[in-house]
Amino acid sequence: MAQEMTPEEIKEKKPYLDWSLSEEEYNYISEKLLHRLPNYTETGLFSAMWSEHCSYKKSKPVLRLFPTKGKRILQGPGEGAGVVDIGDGQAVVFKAESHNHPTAVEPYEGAATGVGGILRDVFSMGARPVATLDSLHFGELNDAHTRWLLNETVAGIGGYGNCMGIPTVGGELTFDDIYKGNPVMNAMSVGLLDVKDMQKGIAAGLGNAVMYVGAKTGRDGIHGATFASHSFDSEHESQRSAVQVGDPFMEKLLLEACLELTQKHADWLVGIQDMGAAGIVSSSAEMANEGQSGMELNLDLVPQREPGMSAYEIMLSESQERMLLCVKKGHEEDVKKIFDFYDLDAVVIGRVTEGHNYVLRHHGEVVCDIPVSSLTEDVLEEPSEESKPAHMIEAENAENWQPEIKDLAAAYKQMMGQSTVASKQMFTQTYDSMVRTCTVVGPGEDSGVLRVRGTHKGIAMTTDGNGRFIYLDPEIGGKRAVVEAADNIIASGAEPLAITDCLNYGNPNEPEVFWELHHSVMGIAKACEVLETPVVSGNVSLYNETDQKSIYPTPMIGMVGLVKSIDRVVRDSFQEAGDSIYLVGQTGDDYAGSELQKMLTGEISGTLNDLDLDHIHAYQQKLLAEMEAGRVASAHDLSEGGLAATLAESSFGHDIGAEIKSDLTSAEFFSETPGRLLVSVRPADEAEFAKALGEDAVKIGTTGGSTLKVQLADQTAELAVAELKDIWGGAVPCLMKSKD
Amino acid sequence: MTTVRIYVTYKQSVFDPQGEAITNSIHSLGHDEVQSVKVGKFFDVVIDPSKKAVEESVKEISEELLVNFNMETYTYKVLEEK
Amino acid sequence: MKFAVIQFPGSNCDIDLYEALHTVCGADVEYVPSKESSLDGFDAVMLPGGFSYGDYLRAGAIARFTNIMPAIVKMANEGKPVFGTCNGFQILTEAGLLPGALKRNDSLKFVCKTVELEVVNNDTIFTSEYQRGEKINLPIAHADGSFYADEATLKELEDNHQVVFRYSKENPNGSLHDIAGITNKRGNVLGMMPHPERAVEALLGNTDGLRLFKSILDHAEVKA
Repeated sequence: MAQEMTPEEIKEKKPYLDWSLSEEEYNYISEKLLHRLPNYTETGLFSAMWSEHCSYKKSKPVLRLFPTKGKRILQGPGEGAGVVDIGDGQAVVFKAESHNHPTAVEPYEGAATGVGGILRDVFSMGARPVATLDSLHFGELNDAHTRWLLNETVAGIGGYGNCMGIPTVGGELTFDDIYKGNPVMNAMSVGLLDVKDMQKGIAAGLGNAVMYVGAKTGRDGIHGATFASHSFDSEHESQRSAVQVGDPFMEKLLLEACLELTQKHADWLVGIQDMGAAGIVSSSAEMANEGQSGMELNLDLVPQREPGMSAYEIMLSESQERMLLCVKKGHEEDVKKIFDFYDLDAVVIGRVTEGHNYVLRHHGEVVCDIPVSSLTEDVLEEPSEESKPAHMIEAENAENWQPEIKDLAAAYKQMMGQSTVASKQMFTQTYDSMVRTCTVVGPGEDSGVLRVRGTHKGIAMTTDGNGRFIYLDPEIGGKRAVVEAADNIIASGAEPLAITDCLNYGNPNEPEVFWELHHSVMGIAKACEVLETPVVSGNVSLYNETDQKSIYPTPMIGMVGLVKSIDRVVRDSFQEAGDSIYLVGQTGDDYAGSELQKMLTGEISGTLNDLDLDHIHAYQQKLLAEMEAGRVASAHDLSEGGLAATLAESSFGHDIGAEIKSDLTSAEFFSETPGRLLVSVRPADEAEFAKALGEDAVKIGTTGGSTLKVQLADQTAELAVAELKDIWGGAVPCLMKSKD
Repeated sequence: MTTVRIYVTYKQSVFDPQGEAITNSIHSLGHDEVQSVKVGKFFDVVIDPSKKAVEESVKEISEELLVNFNMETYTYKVLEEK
Repeated sequence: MKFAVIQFPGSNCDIDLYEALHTVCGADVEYVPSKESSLDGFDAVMLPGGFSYGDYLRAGAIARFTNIMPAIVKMANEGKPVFGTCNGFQILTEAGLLPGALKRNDSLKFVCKTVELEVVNNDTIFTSEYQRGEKINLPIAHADGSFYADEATLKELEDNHQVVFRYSKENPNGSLHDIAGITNKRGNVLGMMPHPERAVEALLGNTDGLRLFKSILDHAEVKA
């Protein structure tokens, strides 16, 4: 084993710079926190715990803008996952996590371990994960490497989730060249919990045991947390060692063992936390910090997969499928018995101690003795410079692009074949979406909907991100992302409850990128306040760039809603011929960043129109009331491709066409004004529906036939539903098959 | 200790979709010289010959666990004896 | 009639079978961990889908060495109903209770969707509630569902009417003779890749699987 550097050598040679700890931070730690030089192990712990991934030192000032409280919110940000009351003593638990960097390097394992990690976050709260969603943004499919990345990523998500037996019920997949070198892979897990079983990541009570459970520790993923806080260059191949390998079978056993403990023997347990980023050190230090406790661990007791691991390696390993428990003194053997049944390691590796120090022993020596808070709370927040992106100022001084639709039918067909609009079924059908037999609405609709067993309730869930709009205007784009998510939830007949987020951005040291982060969070926060959907959990992924080119600012909004009566769930497809079709919400000239602009010009540009959030919230509530009363036959959110795409998709489910008469222009037919839904209403319910919605819903046609007959202000067209469906269904499989 | 490598493959008559897919992608890389690819798996097994004869041990573990004779077959070779 | 739903390490459709029997059919059913070695007191045994032992080595290959297997074999030999879906089917073939084997899908991908099946044989304790030749829709969700057996075995399966379900519109995995489900010669062990337990409630959009469980319950009543 190589000799570790002495504290003096560390000071002199500055190896911490390679671990993303700055000289200023190192000096602050030495002079202000420890009043001595940190040793090798300690320096390693600081570099991991002070990384953006663990400490949020860059994003914290911005994250404080989020509203995090509400009458249903039982647990906001800061724990494994957010917890929201859904009545009857039950709660829904959810969080999303990004795994962009590991996915770019090793897509199968990167995506698989992304799913594995977010599942552990949810079951560490004592909840059983019941559904997974993803949010994927990749480069265009004309590139062989992108196709490989996407295939492997999808296989990794499915490989992990299918084996765990947790249905993947929704998500999104969009394409843009900006993500070519740095795809976005976000996974969201949703769980259910009896409120009385809720757990926290806390270690307290003098002499209580710190127990390590699950898989053994190896050298995989060391410095994953700092890896996530780095940018890529084209030579990233050399970083392959930082990717972990997942074992979903192990995780399934870990899940069942942990739930047996939390549901049946919670009285033995003080706290529980996933060993995620920065492995043992982050879980143990955060648990001690939460309990205002001291902690002493003996690293010789940690189950190890490889011989000769150093203290530094043991502490920073990101081996998967591990959990840390704080167990009441005297119940160590009881806990061990539960894990024994599942053939899992469960070992006491330390104790809660007096005072507030974090002490590690290895081979009989103390290798770390520092205040717990120096790892968790004393992190220097990094002030950031910000400046409004130059492209925004340019756009403000230019005319917005105005589309010209020469041939409505041709444009319609072309739109349905755009990869972002077209069907993603070839991917979603590789996910088990039905296991656990609670899936009422699976992938491909606005939101996934699950029943809650033993009740009449359901939960709806969706993920939404739209980097294009947020790039053009972070604040308005941020509002749009939340409105879009809420529309998706409402489209299924559910009441929006709360959100989780994954904030995927470029390098925050660039003032324009930080401005994007700051202003999009402002927009998200504002919309969350108005729509009454607080932020209960989240994740930040910065440094998403390749060769100094940042991705679009791409916050993902993961929203969960409550269905009061599961038999009132509304689907996105027209149900019967002869129903009236209404467009809810106003349509404007919203072409900047639209799929139409991308399709016709190959790029996006322009300024966005602001939204009237209060107005949108008001009619969303009216629409939801109509849906809960059973007066809406189908509802589908309008997003990419505008009314055109939504109308076509609504016709595909049951092959029911429509006749549309509208004074919208053919350009407006493709406009992407946010806050709109297309609904169909049975004749018997029409009068009451129209009265309730008033001016916020305009009748535009009737369902029926096998074609879409569209009469607009300037043009008419008639297209066979079957033809559009073929184009829509065949586009992505065709692109994936191309050989170049 | 004797290290034995046991190779498990589909029987000749069984369709091997992985082999087929790999053959196709090799052809798309321009390697027309490659006629076919067959995919299998191998197991490196370290056996203590003082406890049981190597040949007998290999036969038993293959037949009991490693090979599904409905569709698979196996061969093996001794890699190392020490 | 009392059902056992076996829980192997990595089983994950155990709850689906349990709920279909317990909540939907009102049957008497209990979970039995595969570490147990007895099925005394049970009248039928159900092997659920999932990824027992992570499907490592081969799907179902390791599960057949669990403690419970001799008890399952005993029930099969006594002529009691033994049912395996998906991973349960794979385990039954690996254990030699059913002929043939399940290979990787021809597409090499996991596939989850609803497919059309033909009920080829309704003269079994599992299918008496269906019509012969009836077309039903059931979900599939598997990566290793391509049924393979050599020519002689296939002929025997066909001659003895052991093929119970066949894929009828499309063959989703490359199974020989479009085989989706088979019984043993005696007819009391059924293995199938599709998931009838996922198709027992209108709320979830499909009830075509319900009659399979009803058939088993009817059979018990007739016998009793």
